[in-house]
Amino acid sequence: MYDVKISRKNPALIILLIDQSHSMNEQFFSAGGKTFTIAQIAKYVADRFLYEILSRCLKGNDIYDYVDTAIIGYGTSIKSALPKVGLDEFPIPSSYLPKIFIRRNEKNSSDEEFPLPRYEWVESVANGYTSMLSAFNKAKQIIEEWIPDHRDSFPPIVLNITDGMPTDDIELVERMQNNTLGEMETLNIFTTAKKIQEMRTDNGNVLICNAHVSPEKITQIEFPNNVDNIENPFAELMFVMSSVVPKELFELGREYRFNLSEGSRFFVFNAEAKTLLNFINFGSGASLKKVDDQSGNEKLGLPEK
Amino acid sequence: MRVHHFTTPKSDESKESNQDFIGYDIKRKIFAIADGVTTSVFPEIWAKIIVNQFLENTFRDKDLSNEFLKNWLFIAIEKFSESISKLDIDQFMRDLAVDKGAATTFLGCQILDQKKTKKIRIWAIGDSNIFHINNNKIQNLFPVAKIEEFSNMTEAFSSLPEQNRSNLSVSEWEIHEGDTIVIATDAFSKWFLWASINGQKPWNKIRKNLFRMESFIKKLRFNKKINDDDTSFIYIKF
Repeated sequence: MYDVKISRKNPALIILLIDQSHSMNEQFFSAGGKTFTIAQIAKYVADRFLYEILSRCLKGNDIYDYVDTAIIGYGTSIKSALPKVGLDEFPIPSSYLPKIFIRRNEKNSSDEEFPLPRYEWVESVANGYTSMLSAFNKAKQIIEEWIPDHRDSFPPIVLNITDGMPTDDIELVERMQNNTLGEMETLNIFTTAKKIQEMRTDNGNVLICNAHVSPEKITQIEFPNNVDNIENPFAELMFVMSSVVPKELFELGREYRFNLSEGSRFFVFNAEAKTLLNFINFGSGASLKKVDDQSGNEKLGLPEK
Repeated sequence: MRVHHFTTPKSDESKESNQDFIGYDIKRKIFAIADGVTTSVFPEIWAKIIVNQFLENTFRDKDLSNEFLKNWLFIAIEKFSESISKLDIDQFMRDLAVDKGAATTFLGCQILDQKKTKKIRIWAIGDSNIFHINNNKIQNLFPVAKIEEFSNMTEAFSSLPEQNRSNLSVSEWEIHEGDTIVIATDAFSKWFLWASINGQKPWNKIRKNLFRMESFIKKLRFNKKINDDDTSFIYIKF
């Protein structure tokens, strides 16, 4: 499971959901004399993610369609996070990416902690409410339509970046006002996430990876395997909405210095900027590192020792 | 000394897509092989540059200082940048080449004639491998000694200076008349080692199939004895 090579015949599907609500305007991270909001870091991570797709799909002078992707922003409503792509055009193949960037930057010094991405596709938006349920429903629809033609592919991956609770799951909002989630199984967002996770290709179930970010300096929780140390109802909800990390991906997770064990969920809470970047790299790398140039013998240059 | 070499891309791929590169100078008795890292950018160009750089600027000392290696790689990196700038490619590709860089394994060696013996001095990074056969068995092998060490991860020379932190491994052996040296990229090396462990004497198989190697490799691939990857080796008989 979770081991099939990615090729043009069996591309991967990666969906990135980005919270674009008003609270994403909070200042989150400072580096090199610059301060970034949560929305700006989320945009940075998304641009890096798309550039990484391009580098994985480069073959000679062509970009091969190894990866289909969708980047969905959710504020008061859901929309495409890529200004040059309509919501209904998703997913788009990797070969489309060079045609839809919005900005090119000159190469920065490699010493910078968060250098400007070379290419930008995503606009930084922080406005309105948090229609996360609608975003997950849209992801579900994309996956439902994609899987029948890609049964042999690596399972789709959904990566969600948020700083807070959904506001479009009315039942959830009401319960949180009473400071209790009650039976999570009866919440729409929970059942939608479960339906997504029940979908599968022949190589495994769809994976949902949730990253919660917070500008407050609170202890990060990374890949927990239980909720014992989580006294936050929203965190508990995100935990159960997150997929268990398949053991086949443990080695990859350790490359990013994540401590994984049986039952670890694809979930980080109160993530700092670097953790968010590593989380998205790990989540997307689960399929991107299976890119196969038809050799069945992929090689990866080691990073620094 | 007789030298043969062979290289072939993965099945159903063009010659141009081969990311292995072989080079040698029989007169100066220097040999080199490189295997471009697939997930890097333009690895075939980088592999060729690194091998040619070794042929033009062969290492002398057994142990190389960091400073020497840094300068040696600097020349190669300049050549890589120049090669990329001349390609007829989109700005996107050019940017990817600069940002992501290329990577390649490398194994280079030199036969040193001494008074009473010959020696072979080897420098290597990554999992391209060299085998020394004497008395019909593997006498030495380097740098990979076990099959399980052939994996998806490898050290490599990078066209990005800041990525070059690993140093070369070095070895040196005595060579005698009648010995055989095989230098190969990882797919062939892995098969070679496996076949040797299983008593198949792969050096004899190479010798018998030197002039029909294409079909020999095709058969190995069909029987799944060898990974379907770019396959290259140099065979030296003393």
